[in-house]
Amino acid sequence: MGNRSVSGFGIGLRPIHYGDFFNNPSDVDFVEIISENFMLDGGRAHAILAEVAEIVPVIPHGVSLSIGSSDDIDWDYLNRLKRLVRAINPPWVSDHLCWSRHHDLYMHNLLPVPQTPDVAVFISEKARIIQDYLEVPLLLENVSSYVTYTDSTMTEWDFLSEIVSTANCYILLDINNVVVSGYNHGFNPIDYITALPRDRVKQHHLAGYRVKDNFILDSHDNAVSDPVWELYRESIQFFDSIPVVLERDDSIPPWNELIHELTLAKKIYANATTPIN
Amino acid sequence: MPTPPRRLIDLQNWMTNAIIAETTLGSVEWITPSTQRGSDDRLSTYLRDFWPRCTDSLAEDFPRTAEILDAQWESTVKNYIRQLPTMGFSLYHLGDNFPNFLQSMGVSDLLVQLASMEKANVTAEISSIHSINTLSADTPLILQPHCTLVSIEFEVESLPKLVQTDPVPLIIFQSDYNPKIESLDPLEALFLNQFITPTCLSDAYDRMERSVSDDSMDTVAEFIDDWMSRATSKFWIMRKDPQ
Ligand SMILES: [Fe+2]
Repeated sequence: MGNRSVSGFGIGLRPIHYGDFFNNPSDVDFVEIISENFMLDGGRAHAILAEVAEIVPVIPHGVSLSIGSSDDIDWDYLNRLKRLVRAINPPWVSDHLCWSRHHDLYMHNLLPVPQTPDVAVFISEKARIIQDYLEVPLLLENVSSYVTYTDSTMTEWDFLSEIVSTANCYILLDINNVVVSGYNHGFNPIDYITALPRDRVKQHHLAGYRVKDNFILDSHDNAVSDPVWELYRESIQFFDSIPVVLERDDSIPPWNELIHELTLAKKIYANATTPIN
Repeated sequence: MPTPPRRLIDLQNWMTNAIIAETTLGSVEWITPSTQRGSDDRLSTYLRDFWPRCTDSLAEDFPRTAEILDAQWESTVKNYIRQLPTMGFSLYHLGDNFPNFLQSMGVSDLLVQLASMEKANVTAEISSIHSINTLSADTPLILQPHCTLVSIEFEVESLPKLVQTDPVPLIIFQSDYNPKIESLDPLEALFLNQFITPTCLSDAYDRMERSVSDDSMDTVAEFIDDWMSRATSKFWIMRKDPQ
């Protein structure tokens, strides 16, 4: 993998917590940042990045790569991402298996792609080009989704596995997203995680969702829900000691509350990996 | 670049239009119903998301413009995005063309000025700052990317009601990572306006001389000398090609 190794338990670092992070850096083993906020020309985020990266490993996690878009690769975007990668020397970069841009219009949303063999080939070719260009491993994250397409002929887990195996890239497994999509599309989350190629899953995400009338919304504004903790417990059995990131993007709680939730993840991990005598 | 499958292009054409036009027309062809939700209901989750994200994000960047447009804010944003979609990967760039769009809509000049001020705040927040070292009279200089010059004809304090006043030239720039506004005296405004396009000091001096009365020429020379002696700490202008 990349230049700098990463393990343990981290959070998605948001501006509201910059101060808390500098006061309590040992609360986390590493942090994840939203790549795009650090790909602008300047500003506070830029200035703070080098300081953060001095203290802990930083993983850039993007939302606008739009690898599933039928558009060409956005080379300006990729150039900026590469500059970010060079600046912080991360073990990998991640983004989502989705589309969010069409004919240069950004939808600012993570839209699912139809799961077909030809779309898998198309995306894996793009993933290979992108990973080669960035010169750092690329992790693709499963998204939460609210629709499935009439065109789809493959399960989401077969589709994702096919892409990463063909492109020789990796998976960021968002446990919350598996639970959300499992409910919305009527599949068993366990079927999803057990079908993934073990050696390709390099990171976990944990987050909270919101239950609506007849679907679940991936809201990132809530504490991690019980079904997500349960699936995380199961997932540890398959993917062992891969690093975990707790994500929160709305109604962000105080630092201590977030770190307390991260401690729960550590406890679940410790219990799940302690052999019973 | 690999060739995208035809059906993927068709699907993304359809879904993009559906989201922008807020219609579920065609959803049965593309979206499988689930046991709990029909195709149109499932699609509507994405439809509900897009416009509030745009209107909220722009209202964050243009709070006073939004306040003044009030009931027309939502429809103005929709017309803007439909007519002048922005290409930026970051929501920070969503409002790049917004002041120009307002102008093209024929809103009052004061409102366009206010929107330009608010756009300048965003620019100041996300742009880089360059240092300048030694300069000679023929070094091409340009206004730094975090700086915007605006001339407004209303009292900033009188917001949200825009009351017409005489024009006041302003510079909006980044200071300690935050946008800061300073009013400029007429000579300084005239000087800084020279650097909206790359210009060297000697040309700036010549042009300024031509626009002031004969007895102010010494003042211009003095002003430029004095201003340049503080230029390296002001970070408002830079070399055209920073090294
Ligand atoms: Fe995630």
